[in-house]
Amino acid sequence: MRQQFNYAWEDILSHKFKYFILFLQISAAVVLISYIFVTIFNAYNFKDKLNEVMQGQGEEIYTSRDISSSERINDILLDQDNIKRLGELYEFIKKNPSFKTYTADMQHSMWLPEGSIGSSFAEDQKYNPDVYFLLKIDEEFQDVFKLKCVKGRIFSNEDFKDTGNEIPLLLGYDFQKYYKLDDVIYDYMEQCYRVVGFLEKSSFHLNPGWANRVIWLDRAFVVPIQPDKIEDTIYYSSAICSTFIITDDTNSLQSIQEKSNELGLYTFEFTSFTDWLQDLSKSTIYGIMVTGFIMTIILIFAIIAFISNLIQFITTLTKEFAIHLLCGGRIISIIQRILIQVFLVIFIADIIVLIIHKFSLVTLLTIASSLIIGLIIIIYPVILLSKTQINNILRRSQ
Amino acid sequence: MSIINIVDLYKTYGSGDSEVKALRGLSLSVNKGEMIAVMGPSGSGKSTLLNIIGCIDKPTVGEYFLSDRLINTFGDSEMAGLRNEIFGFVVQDFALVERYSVYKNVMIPLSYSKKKFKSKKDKIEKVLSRLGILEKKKAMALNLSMGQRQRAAIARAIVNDPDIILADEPTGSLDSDTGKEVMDILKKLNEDGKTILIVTHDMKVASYCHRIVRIQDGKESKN
Repeated sequence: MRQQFNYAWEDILSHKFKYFILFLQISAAVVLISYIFVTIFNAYNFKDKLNEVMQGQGEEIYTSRDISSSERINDILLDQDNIKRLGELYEFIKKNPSFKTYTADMQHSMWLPEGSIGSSFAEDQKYNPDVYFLLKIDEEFQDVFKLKCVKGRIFSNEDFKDTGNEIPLLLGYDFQKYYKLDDVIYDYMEQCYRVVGFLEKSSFHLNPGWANRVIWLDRAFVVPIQPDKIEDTIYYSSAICSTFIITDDTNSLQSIQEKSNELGLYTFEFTSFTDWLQDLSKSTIYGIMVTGFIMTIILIFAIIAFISNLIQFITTLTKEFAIHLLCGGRIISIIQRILIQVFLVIFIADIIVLIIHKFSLVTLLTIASSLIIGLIIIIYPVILLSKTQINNILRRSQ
Repeated sequence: MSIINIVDLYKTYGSGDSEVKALRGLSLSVNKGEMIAVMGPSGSGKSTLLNIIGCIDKPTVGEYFLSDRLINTFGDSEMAGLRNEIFGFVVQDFALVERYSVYKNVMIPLSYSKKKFKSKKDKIEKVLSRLGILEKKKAMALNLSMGQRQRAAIARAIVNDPDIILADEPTGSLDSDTGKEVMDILKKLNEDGKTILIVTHDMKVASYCHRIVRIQDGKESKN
């Protein structure tokens, strides 16, 4: 087998360019397959979590979005006199007895100054909001998403009031390597945060208007929204537009819009989680179709090219195979040599998938798919060889 | 002592109208250490006989004993093992892999061998030295002269120390001087104890052998 590996490797090296092109095609197809699995899993996971959260509430959940013109938004935000009206709207939404709400205001980053505790982590992940972000939440958020801590505690009622100079901070599970309970962290504005707890692994949040996937909180900085401390229109605006309404009564949504109109503020567009789910199904199917189409085209080319290459290889090297058979080789040895060539290319393509997706179900399924591709590629050349009798090869080679 | 014993051997290729009877009841016994020439007209079944003896092909009917073992029932793996360990093949067109060096060509039988070697490199170099082409070990087979190619082919045939050498027209592509050199090498190998079967049309080649087996129409001809 080892010897056949050496022969196969030499075969590849003697046709470097051809194999490089085949490798690129197979890699592209395999990576696209992995992304199809990612899309399916993300959609499935997201749908699952959305249903879980909706069932937990027993009512529909709505996202709110301001669809005012950009000029109008600028007018609202730039006029600091609006802060009172924004506060009134936020209070109307939050304290309305007709419906429940929760707020989850995602900011892209928590800016830590260099040299601060855990800044190495922050440095690594800087500017990458997918893995490192700040989430401002209200008390209801903790109930809806059933936040629990592995260490410390979740926010108390008092944490959502003005806590003075020090803001309590909940950290995602992955931050345990970098911080301890009671650590004090300063951001670049020298705002002081004290770590009060570490969230359980795989704590999550959903924001269908922001991303069609589950937002894991393992690398999130979570801070409480303290309405008493809001001194800027931007922060109020951000909190209002990040508030989710839990109700089955669409009149409640109407009342929010009416209140906003009365205060001369936003024009809202409310979208239910059910609608988001329908959109998600459509966009998932569309995504899979587009990726699948590209993948299929690449794969067909790759498979045809690979099979043609192997048939040409077998035809060209008939005499060489005959010599190996004369010297004690078997047809199975030649088949091994061909299998090694094919699966070596596939193996390297799978390493790329492993690097991208690490050890995961996506990686495993992609590897399984690539093995099926390998089988499709080798099936005809192997049949061709296994039907050949040694004396026929020798006669043909003469 | 008989090393090869063939009894009433038949070999038929194809069927129906395309049926070809290559061997028709041939019997042959070869003693250990013999050097035999197999002669006959084209299509008489010489190469078929050599293929069956060399475990490349199987007889349709008849028995083939190799060192008293009945070969007919051997499977693909055992036949390959015999080709590797018992036989060395030398053929008219040398059967060298042209894109390989001489060294790599000679390495082929060792790569399939189950024997343990202290050093494959030493073994190859010793054989190449014995055949006078050690300095050509890195040369591509394609760049060798005809004589050197046949020496390389003989080196490959004997590197795994086989008991029997099967040569099919070994001098067919060589000029007379080079052909003589090759036959001298085969003669020397025979003197060293190898059993050698040579298929040839050439009486000069046959004259090196202990006896001549003549084949006609798939049977031994007594003429």
